[in-house]
Amino acid sequence: MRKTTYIGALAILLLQHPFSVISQPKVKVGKMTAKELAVTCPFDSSAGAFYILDYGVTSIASDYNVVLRHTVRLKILDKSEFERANISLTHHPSSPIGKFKGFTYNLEGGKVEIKEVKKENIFKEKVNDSRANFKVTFPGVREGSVIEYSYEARYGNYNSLNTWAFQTSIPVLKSEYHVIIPQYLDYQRLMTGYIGLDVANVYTENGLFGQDPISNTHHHYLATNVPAFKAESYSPAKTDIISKIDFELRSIAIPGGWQETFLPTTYGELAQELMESDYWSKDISGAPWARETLGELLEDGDNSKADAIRIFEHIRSFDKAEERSLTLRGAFKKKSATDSEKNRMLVAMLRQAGYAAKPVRISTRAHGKVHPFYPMKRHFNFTVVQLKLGDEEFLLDATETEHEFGVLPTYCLNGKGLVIHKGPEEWVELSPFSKNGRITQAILELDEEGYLNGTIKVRRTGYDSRKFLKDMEKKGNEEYKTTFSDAHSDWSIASHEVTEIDAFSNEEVIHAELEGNTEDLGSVLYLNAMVNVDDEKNPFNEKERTFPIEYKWPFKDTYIARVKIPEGFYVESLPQPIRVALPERAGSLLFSVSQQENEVVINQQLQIRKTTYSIEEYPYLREFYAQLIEKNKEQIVLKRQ
Amino acid sequence: MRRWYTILLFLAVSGITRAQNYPVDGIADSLKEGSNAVIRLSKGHFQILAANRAKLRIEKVVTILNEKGKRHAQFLTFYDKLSGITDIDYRVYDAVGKQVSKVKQSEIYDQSAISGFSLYEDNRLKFIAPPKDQAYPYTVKYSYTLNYRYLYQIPSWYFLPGEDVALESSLYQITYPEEVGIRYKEILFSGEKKEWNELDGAISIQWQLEGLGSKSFELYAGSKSDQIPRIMLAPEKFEFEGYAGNMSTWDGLATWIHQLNESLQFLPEEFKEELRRETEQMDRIEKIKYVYHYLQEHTRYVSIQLGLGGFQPFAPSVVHKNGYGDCKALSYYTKSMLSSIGIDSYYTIISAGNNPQKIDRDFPLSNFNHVILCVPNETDTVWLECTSQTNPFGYLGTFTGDREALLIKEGQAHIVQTKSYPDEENTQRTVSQIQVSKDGSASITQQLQLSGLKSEALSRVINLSPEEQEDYLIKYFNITTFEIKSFEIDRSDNAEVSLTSTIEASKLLASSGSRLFLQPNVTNRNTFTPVKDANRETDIHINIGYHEYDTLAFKIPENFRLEAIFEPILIESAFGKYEAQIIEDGSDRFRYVRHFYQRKGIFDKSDYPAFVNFYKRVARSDKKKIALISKT
Repeated sequence: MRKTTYIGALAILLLQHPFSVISQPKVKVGKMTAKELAVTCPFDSSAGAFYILDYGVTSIASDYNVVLRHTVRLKILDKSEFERANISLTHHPSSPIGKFKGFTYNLEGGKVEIKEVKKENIFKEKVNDSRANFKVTFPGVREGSVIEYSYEARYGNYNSLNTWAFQTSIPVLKSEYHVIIPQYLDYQRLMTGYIGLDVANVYTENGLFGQDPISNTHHHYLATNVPAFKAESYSPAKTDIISKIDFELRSIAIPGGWQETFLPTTYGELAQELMESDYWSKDISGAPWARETLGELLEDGDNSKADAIRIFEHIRSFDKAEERSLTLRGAFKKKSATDSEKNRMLVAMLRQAGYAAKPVRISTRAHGKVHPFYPMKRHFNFTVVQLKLGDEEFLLDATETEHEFGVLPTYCLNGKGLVIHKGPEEWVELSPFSKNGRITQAILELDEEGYLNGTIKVRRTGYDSRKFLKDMEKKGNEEYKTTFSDAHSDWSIASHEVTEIDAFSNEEVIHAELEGNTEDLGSVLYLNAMVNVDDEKNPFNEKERTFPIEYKWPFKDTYIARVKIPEGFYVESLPQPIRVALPERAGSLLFSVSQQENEVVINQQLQIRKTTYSIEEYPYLREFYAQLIEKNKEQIVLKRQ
Repeated sequence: MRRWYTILLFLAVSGITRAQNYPVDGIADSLKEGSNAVIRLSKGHFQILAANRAKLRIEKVVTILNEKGKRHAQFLTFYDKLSGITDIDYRVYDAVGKQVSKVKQSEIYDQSAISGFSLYEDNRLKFIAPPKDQAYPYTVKYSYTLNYRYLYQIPSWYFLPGEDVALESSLYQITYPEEVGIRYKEILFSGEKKEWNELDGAISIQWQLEGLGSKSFELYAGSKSDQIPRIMLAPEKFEFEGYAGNMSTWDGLATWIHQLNESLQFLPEEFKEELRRETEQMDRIEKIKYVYHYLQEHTRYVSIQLGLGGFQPFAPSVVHKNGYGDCKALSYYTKSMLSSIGIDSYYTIISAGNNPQKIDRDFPLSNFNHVILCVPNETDTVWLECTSQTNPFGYLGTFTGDREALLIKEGQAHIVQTKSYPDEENTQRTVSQIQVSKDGSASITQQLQLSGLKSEALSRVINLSPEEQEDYLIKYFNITTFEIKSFEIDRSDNAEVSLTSTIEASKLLASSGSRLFLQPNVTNRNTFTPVKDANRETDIHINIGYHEYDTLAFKIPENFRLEAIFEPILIESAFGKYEAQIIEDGSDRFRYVRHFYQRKGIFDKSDYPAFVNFYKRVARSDKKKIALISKT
């Protein structure tokens, strides 16, 4: 609906301002000295390629097209990076890449040899109606070549400018970015990442918009010697840690013309604005279309939890639609809804039934964190539902079919969510379920041959249970068991059952004869009673860490084993008990082993309470796992009487 | 585009007008077992209209039993500038056979289709996604026609498209004018064949097969396509973009290829002169090496496939100017360079990859996807892989080694065997010195030497930056908690790769009271065990044979001694051999010595339990533990 207003306003503007391009900073291409060509990457000698220069100027033409002029100089040092001499620029078929120039420079007997990109090196691929690729393969590339190119691309959307990343998968010597914004437009900038900028200036200068002299806001950013971005395990989402800058339109103000503010100044205002939009106000007003169904679902009728659960379950049972229906009512009738429709429907139906339910906008894990200061709609990409029942508060997501009422799925666990309502700004903590993990109980009997016979029971709870069941469903029960038995090739499995106890717990029971847990050397027999333990290697073997460490959820892993020792053997030595804790009780490891008559009893508890760790805490985590795995490798020593 | 990359057309086609609309309860239970989808009817008709024109009509009805079978409901067909798709009709029926929807022409998605390895091709695809929000089971029925403005290959007909699908009925028909001619070969086919003359004199042959249960492919069983009934076909006369040929003999195919290459523009004179000058003083092998290294330093692999360019290389002069090309262009460029210094070499087309299409001597067919260069010498033949900037001189390996290929000599075809790597030449030797401390930490100095096919384990890593190499090694070493102090990866001219590394492992041995526990096989544990299978149906194919030799010398910390050691282990089987033992060298040293041999070969399916057992015993032996005990 709003879109039409934009277009209407633009049509008038176009008449007033004939096209023109604002004067802009420029970088010349097509020339390079032998000295420039010999440049090295001083801070990363191992890089196979690096950017000498990544230079961009974004401006807004008088037809309101966003224009990016981009110049790149890239040095290729190693054959493994030759792929970088093939580039592909994606664009809309109606906005072709313009003014492309490309060169390859090589040092040939002390002289610079230049090869220019010709038509035969360029390929235009029309992918489909909305996407095309402009592909270039640079001629004459070998180790030590520098490729250089510049082009102009036009993007239709001035609401949010294209992201400029200072950091890439290879090092960048110099990344420079200019954004030139006519006075009519005002943008909010957003910066993320861990790299410091050498220049971050914003100033006003004179310019032209069409024929009209105006003042421009000129943003100038410069980063030098930017290290390559390298993903690490247990990391936050890439979008939260890579160094980049974004611009989002805050307001438009044309003298005597269109005036509009797009960005609220506080999150409270944003919530208010969302609340007033057609989209949400309708949902919140209730669900008259569901009256009949509600009549059946509301058995207790006094806003009971049980009734709320029934509404929740009803929506959850709907099919997952891939395309949105025209109205919620339509989706409801079809019993098929998209993820976002399901949660909107949930708000609408709960409110229709008189519950205090509100939509909560959140950003899913993969979508990155919500910016703490700059309120923007684009930070959010998902909606969950807040339900208040007396003193109790529940957060609901009806899109996951198996989750317990009041427990958010793991993709929602990403900081805080913004409550959409008319009142003051309100955030809710998207807390994880607290009882995750597994309890393994092994009741085993050692025989004289060195085999362990018995039962292994694994009970998983919370997210660990969900994850396990999801993975198993993907494979199929039978295939899961086959894979398990193949992975435990020295177990003779007599029976293997997995039972789902409820939405948030399951139990796996295995009766088996285990080989390979003992080493019989005649005079002495070593026994390892840590069966079904999966960690063999420290997950943190990298020396250094660049980004914080993030676990998806807190958990507790308990292992209890009782092993009966056969007659004729005695215990010569047992592993030592240990107790290890991460600073501030963020995690702990307890291990004890004892002998009770002819049984050895092992008890291990691994607990991770805190989910986010700073780089400074990395060495503690590394050592923590080192101790755990060492413990699991220790042997019980038995001797023959 | 029918070019030299293997294109397996898993065509499953289908059924014209039957009165019924395939209700799901009509499917026999035996076909549902183990299936996620059932092909109710699959019908294809390839009609050769002339030596340069053909038409393929496909009709198909598939019942999708569950979510996992969904992909069989998608419509996905490729076309290009020389072929077009028409008459697409796609309908969806519910379980009882009632039509629920029909796809409109505007809903057919069209997109460019460039293979992952290519920069540019003129291929496109048309796509219809499986129906959304349709309850299982359901049935889709679709048909389309592909019109070709050339004739080169005739799609092979596979009676099953994969492993979780069963078949009710499948028919394939070929119609061709007698003057064009075709040849065919039936593989594992046990159905009915009919042959007749059309009114216009054209000849038709039809193959029909009914009732095939779904298959599950076994591992180590050779090529999957050899496990499915299929009909292979090839034209006699054919024509592509004005180039006519006859494929009824290998020589015919060779003549056609020669004809495409013959017209190419040669290298610039001054460059030829330069090559002659530079190599004047060299002997023959040095000359070939010079040219190969020149190629590796001045070109890179870029695949661009347009029309005839799928078969015809860029001219050597173009490769020389741009410094890039695909397998055809780079091979032909190298051939031209060699020829300018008086060395003959031959363009050799081949089926590359781990599961190559075998050449059937009696059935000439263009089943290739790659080109290499053969340089014959008096004593030895040198094979050149021209698409790699890093491949050692003369190395073919698992990508193109040990198979038959088609060598083109003037207009003649020669079926030749490429280089093979006997088991004895594929070795991995590890020599380590391990100094153990009382707290269980250890310093490890390790030398790893890889030869022959074994070198491929690290050949990709050689080309990475040192930082990426270190990341790789952190994953590669199977040690609990450790730090790599230094490392070096090298490759010699004869494709040998060595890795020298120094590692500090903080907890190599688990310390417990007076003991230190150790798995003496520190870095080369074989954990692989084949899946158990009581009803093995195919023979066991082991494609690579090799030897591993490990010698790990341990220095025991002061005041410790070996508590006890295991008896030497010897496992001998048709599949190979395994030996491991601990040898004590005085009171403070011992060695762990291991030898593992995997034998290449094809073994009878009845030996499968022995195969599983062999690897199981090897895996278990590699987990052996010992302990050091304090003397006090």
